[in-house]
Amino acid sequence: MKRAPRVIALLLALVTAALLPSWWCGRDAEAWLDADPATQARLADALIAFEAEDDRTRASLTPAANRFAGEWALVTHQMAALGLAQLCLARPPDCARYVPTITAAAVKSFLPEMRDFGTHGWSEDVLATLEGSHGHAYFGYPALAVSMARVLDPAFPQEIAAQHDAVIAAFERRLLASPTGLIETYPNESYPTDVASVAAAIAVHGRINGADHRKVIAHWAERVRSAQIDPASGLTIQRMGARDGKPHDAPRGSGTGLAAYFAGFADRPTAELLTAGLRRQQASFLGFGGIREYAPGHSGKGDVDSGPVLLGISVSATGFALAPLRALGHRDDFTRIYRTTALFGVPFEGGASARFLTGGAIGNALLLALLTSGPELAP
Amino acid sequence: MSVTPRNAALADAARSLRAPLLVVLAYLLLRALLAALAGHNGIFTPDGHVSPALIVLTMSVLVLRLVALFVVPALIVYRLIARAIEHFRA
Repeated sequence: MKRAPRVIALLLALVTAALLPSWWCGRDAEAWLDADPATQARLADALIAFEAEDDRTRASLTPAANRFAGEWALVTHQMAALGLAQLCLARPPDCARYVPTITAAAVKSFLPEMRDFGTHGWSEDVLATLEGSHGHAYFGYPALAVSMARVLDPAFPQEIAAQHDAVIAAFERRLLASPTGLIETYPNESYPTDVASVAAAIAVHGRINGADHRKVIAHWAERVRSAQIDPASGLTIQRMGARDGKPHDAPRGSGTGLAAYFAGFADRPTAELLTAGLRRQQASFLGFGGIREYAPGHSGKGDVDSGPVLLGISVSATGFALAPLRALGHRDDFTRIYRTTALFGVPFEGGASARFLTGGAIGNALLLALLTSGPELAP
Repeated sequence: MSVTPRNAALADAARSLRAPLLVVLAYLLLRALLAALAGHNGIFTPDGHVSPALIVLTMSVLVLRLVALFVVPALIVYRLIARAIEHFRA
């Protein structure tokens, strides 16, 4: 009988440990799901402040080598533009506040120093070789940001708009010529996720002036289904040969998650198909959800695409899944994944803005885009 | 001031919460420090520069966050409930 109080206390302590952390970390999940304006605006304000600071740094005499540039910078500016654009689409009265930053971020993503990695990979600049057949699919990311900016900003700089039109035409021609629906990111390497960003950029370009891109989007979507998805898992193969369509890597969650987000801009059924595969990769514990990086029967370590992989769960796949889960209405799955994001992201409110402390600028830009996904979906 | 059994029990309960609450306080302080130092960066510094001090601070915040969320509340519940039951039985 003397042990009874301790046993009762222990049981209640275990119940507390099982329920309280997930409740605490998921407190904002509904606000994100229901597009609470204040919650969205606080993270948006942090990104607007980041872009303004970046503009000031660029205007200073800082040597170019020390500026925020390269692959991660490109993704940061692209995702900041996409996230703010999604808020603008969701609440048009807020557009006046967001459009200047959307355009500034999209224009920065087009700067030569942002794509140095691709220029070195091909030994040629994508904008100088638009008549050629090399894929340069990494340029789908800034092209999508500019597509969205042009949809929302009638005063978008004409010179860049003209370059963008030429890029979209080149992408469309290359994609239609590809029997696998893939174009290369680097020589002999194609990433279905990057090609999904290309398809998204083309599709959103059609919303600017009504250009008809249905043929190329249908071509791409059909080949995603037939050539790029692993039938057993429903995940996209992370890396493939563009011409022969042979896998160069495993079917993986990180690529599938981001591809599902991009596919939503272009073709909703393709986004739904990829999301179904992603949901099958879900694991949960005590109300926290995560996405396994590797399809059953495959294994590997974490890399630049997946981020750290712990117990098979990938940081990137888990984060990327937020967008399609929200956009396509999988509320319970979203909530579980959001709890994990909040647990490790460490949300912090300071002044009028809020941010996630561990992800930095790229993490916050990604999360703004992923947590507000939905308004950009293709009809 | 006389020490009644009730006051003694409350003082005992408060003493048992001191250590877990210090963990929460340490977490909140380090989190505020991280917010101030990290600025727009974080564990994943976008331009390739990695600050070892910032990584250590971030990892400390994460560990303390996990302890503050999973261990501290359970420990507080355990200690308060066990003491309350013993107190009422006595």
